[in-house]
Amino acid sequence: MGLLSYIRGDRKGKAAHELERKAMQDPFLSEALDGYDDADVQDTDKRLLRLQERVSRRTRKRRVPIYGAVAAVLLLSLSVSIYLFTRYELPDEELAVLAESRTVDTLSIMMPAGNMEQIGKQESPVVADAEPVRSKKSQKKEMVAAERELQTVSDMADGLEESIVTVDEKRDIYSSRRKIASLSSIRKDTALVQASATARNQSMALAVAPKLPEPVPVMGYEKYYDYLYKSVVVPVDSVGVPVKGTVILKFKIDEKGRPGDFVVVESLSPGLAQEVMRVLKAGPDWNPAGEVSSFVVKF
Amino acid sequence: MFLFKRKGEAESDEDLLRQYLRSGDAEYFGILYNRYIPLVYGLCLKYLRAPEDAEDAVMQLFEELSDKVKHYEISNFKTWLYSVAKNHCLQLLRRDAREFPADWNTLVAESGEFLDLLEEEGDEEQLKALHHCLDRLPEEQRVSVCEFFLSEKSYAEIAEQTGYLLKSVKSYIQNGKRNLKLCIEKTTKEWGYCPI
Repeated sequence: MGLLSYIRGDRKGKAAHELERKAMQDPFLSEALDGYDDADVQDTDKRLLRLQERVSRRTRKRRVPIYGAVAAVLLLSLSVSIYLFTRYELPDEELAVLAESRTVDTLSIMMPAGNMEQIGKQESPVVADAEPVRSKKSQKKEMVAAERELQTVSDMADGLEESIVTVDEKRDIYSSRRKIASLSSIRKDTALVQASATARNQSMALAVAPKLPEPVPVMGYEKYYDYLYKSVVVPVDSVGVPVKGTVILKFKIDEKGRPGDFVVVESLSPGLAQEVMRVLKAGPDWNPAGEVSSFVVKF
Repeated sequence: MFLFKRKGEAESDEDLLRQYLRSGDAEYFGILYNRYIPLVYGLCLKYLRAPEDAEDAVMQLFEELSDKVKHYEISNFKTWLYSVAKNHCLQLLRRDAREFPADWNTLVAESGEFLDLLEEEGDEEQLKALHHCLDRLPEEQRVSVCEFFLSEKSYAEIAEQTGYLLKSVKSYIQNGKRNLKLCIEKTTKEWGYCPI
C-alpha cells in the first residue's frame, strides 16, 4: 500500500510523488504526511502495529480465542452427564429442586489454573457457534453432573493445606499478561467458579462469586492493567536489568473508591511491590468498597 | 478446521459502518478503524508531536468514536473521521496551552484546470500566461514548483537536489502555486484586453 511504504521511508521516486500529489487534494492525507516528516521510521512502524493489534484485540469476539475452552467445558460436562446417567437415575422431584435453585443458563464448573494457562496461550481459529444446550432436561442433567463434579473437587480442596488456585478473570482470559490468579480458600457452600456459556455470545466469564462481591476497577480490569503497566517504573537490579517476577497484593477499597491498607502477599522484589503500590495509590478508582483479596501483577 | 478469513476486509467503509450499527458487533468497527490508523496516527503526530501522545490519542479516539458513530448521520466516514480527529487534537493543544502547528496547508481542493496547466496541458494563451508567471516567481518557489509538477519529483528528492529543507520545499510549492494562480488569473484578464 502506497501510504505504508511512504511511512516506512520510501519517499523518493514516482510512487512517492504520486502520493504527495494525491495529498494536495486530500487534506487528511496531507496532514498525516506532515506528521510523519520528522518521525522515526522504526518507532512509527512498531507503534502502528501495536495500535492495530490493540484495536483488534478489543473488538475480537470473545468466542474466538476461547473456543477451545468452551468446547472442552461442554465436552467434559457432557461426558460426565452421560457417565452419571448410565449409573444413576434421579427421581424427578430432586431434579426439579436442583433446577430451581440455579439459573438456567449457567454451568458451574471448577477449572484449575493450569488449564487457564493453556487457554490463555491457545491460538484458535474462528469457528462457528457451538450448538447451545437447548432442551431443559439435558440442561438439568448437566447441572446435576456439574454439581456432583463440584462436590468431588470441593472435597479435594478441603484435603489440601492451602487452596486450589481459582481464576478470577472476567474478561480477556487469552491475554496472559492480564490474567489475575487469586488464591482463596474454597468452602463447599460458598465460592463457585462459574463458566457461563450462553448461547448468544459464547463468551466465557470466569468469576469467583463469593458472598460479598470484591471491588473491581471502575474502568474495568483491561484498562486498569493498561494503566498499570504503562505507569509502573520497573526498578533495575545491580546490573541494570529490569526486575522480573510476580507481585501479589492484598488491599482494601474505601468508600471513596481509593485503595489503601496494602499487604504484600508475595513479591520477589520489595522495590517492585513498592512501585506497584505507588501506582495503585495514585491510580483510578475501584468500586464498590471492600477488600481485594488478591491482586496479581506479573513482570 | 474451516479457514475463516477475517470478515469485512474487502467491504467498503460505509458497509462496515452499517453492519456495525445494525449488529452492534464491535468487530466491524475495529476493522474499519484499523484501516485508518495510519492516517489518524500521522495526523495526531503532526499536532501532538510526541509519538507517545499520538498513540494515546489514537486509542482515545477509538474508544470515543465507537460510541459516537451511533449518534451521527455519517455519509463519508473518512471525512468525518478527519474532522473529529483533528478537533480532538486541537482541543488537546488548547487544553495544554500548546502551540498549533503552522498550518500553511489550509487546503482548498485544487481545481483540475490549474493542475493541468502546471503540467502544460492547456490552450496556448493559458500556457503563455503560465510561463510568464513562472518567470516572475521567486527562485525557490519556481524551482520547487517546476521540479514537483513538471519533473514529477518527490519532496525528498527536491530537498536533496536543492539543499532546501523538506518543510521549506512544501512551503515553496504551496506558496508558488498560490502566487501562480493569482498571477495567471490577473494576467489572462489583462491579456483579454491587450494580448501580447
